[in-house]
Amino acid sequence: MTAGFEKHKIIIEESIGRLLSRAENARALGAGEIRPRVEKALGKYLFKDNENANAAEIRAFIDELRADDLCLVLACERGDETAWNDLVATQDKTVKAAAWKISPKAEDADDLASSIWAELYGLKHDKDGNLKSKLSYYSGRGSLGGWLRAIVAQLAIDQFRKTSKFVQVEEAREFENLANESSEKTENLAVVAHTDNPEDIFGEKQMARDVSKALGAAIQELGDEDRLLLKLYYFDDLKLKEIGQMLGFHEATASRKVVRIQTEIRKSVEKILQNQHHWSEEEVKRYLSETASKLGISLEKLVAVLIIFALVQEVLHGNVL
Amino acid sequence: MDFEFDKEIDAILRKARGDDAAALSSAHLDADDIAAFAENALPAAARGRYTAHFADCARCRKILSNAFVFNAEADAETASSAVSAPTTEAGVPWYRRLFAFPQAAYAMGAMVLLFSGFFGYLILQNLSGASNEVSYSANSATNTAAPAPERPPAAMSNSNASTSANTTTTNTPANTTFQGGSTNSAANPATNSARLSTSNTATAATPSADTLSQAESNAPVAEVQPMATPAPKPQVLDDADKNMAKVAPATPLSKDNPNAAGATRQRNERDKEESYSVDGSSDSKTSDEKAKTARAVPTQKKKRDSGAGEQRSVGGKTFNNVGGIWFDSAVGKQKQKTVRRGTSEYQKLDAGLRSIADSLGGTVVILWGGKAYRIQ
Repeated sequence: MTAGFEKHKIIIEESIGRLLSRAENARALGAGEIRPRVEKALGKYLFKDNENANAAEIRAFIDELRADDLCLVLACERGDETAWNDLVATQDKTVKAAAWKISPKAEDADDLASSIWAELYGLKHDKDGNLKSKLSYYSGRGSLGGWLRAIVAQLAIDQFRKTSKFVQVEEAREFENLANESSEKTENLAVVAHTDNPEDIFGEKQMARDVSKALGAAIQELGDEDRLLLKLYYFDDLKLKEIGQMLGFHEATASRKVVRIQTEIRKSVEKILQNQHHWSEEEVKRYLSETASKLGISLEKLVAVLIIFALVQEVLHGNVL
Repeated sequence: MDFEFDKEIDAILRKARGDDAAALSSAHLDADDIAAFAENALPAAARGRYTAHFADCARCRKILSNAFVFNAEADAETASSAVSAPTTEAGVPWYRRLFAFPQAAYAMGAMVLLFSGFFGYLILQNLSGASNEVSYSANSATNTAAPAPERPPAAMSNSNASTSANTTTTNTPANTTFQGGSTNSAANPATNSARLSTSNTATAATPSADTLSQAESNAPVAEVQPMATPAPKPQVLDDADKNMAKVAPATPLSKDNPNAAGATRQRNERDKEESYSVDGSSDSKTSDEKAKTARAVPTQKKKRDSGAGEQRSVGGKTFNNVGGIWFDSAVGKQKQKTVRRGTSEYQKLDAGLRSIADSLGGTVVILWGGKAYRIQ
């Protein structure tokens, strides 16, 4: 990586010069102050995956950095009061807005925003006695606002994980006990048929475990992008349009991908259940069908309620049509 | 975008969301990685590496999805605030704004009011139409009953229909009986209709000679009313009119009727007045002009009147309309000779007679040269 920097030293310097010239307010920064941050970003995002990146790629990478945002952050790190004032003036609204969206209570939101600013300013000192600020992680690759929003989300989720009982999510449960958990929850009684026969109950739980494992394995067989797309869609409730924007393709493409992924998962699950768990073809089809239909009913009800709620909201806000 | 979702797998995957725990990663991504990924600002190779991490790390993916949603909302807010208000208004099509909630509600309310008003108007129209008919009937009954209060209500009510019948069937006098008499003041032409008591059972096909002569003798002049509406100036007369004008002064009424002289004199005076009222000319007008004026008035009047109970003076003669038939007030008990228009016999009649008959139109009973003619 260092070899890459030395090899393309001139290109990097030229690109940094252009970056400074691109900035509307360079905050009196010199190339020497910017170069370490630029090289860090190059190493992290470019040379790590491609040590032989050529001059054009390096030039393009640096030219795509957010010059003004990076200069502002570097000036703040340097202790420029004006830069800090500018940072607070321009980004405080962004931080608070994100905090308010992610925190259910106003007090929590204010606390979260305050925590963000404290971390940006720096609470700890490094071995040299300098304040260790989160600003040092900003590369300029994305926008400063987007980075701050990610900081807010990161801090909020980390705080939530610390205080909640969902720490086990961190553990590798691999879709454990999908149907088994469902059968234990009163509201999900419909998912798995219940009998009073202990042998039947055991059999149902075993089948649920088999399906859960097969489902997890099928998802793991997917490509990285398909897996991410699937989870963003099913687990994080992002819309196909949003997923498409994030991953760089059209909503229609995202929809086609979801359909294809479903098909692949079905095939994989059926294959795993039959080959590894020795289910018959009839058992596979019946189980998937029954489970899906029982889940589907509740989903339809949920969708109907949501539609009515949305309509009422639309009417109340005067946004009909 | 109509894609066939696998509903079974779709439902199972949705249920499996809470069980996603694949995600233990030794090194979580930092905010810069996540923000750059969310903004699609990473080089392709780095992007692939982070995609794998996000696919398996629930924590980082959660931050990613939250950051992305925040960005999207912030972009939307920025875009909406950047656009000026007038532009926003212009950006929304007028038909969309028309159907926006407040406008749509007002429009619906207005439509309801409009239709309610329309139907209410229709109902009122129907009701008022009925009441108009009732009032018209009442007026007709009053007019009919005024000179003859002894008539029973049934007869009064019948008069409504018969009156209207008379106005429309002026050439069918079969059901009419002329009731001129001492009670006739004849001051108002409208009261003449009161003298037309109609009866469906009446059999008199023609007016009674007694009643006709009585009517003439009792009120030969007063029955003739000056025209309420000034007639336009006399127009250019055709040949027949000119002939009539020549004949008119030589009305031979005095030969048959002892009262005719006085009546003629009074009629001349009345004609004189009418000529004043028509064209405002002085006494210096010639008799021809007066005759023209006298004939011009009924011509106008004919347009207005439907006939029944009306009195006209044409060619120095006074005619009463009885059931659509013009009766010369000078006609007595003479035997009537029926002549149809358009026949050779009609053409042989005196031009003055034909002119009068043509002026009046319809069936005319006229005394001419001592003979009574019934022109049909």
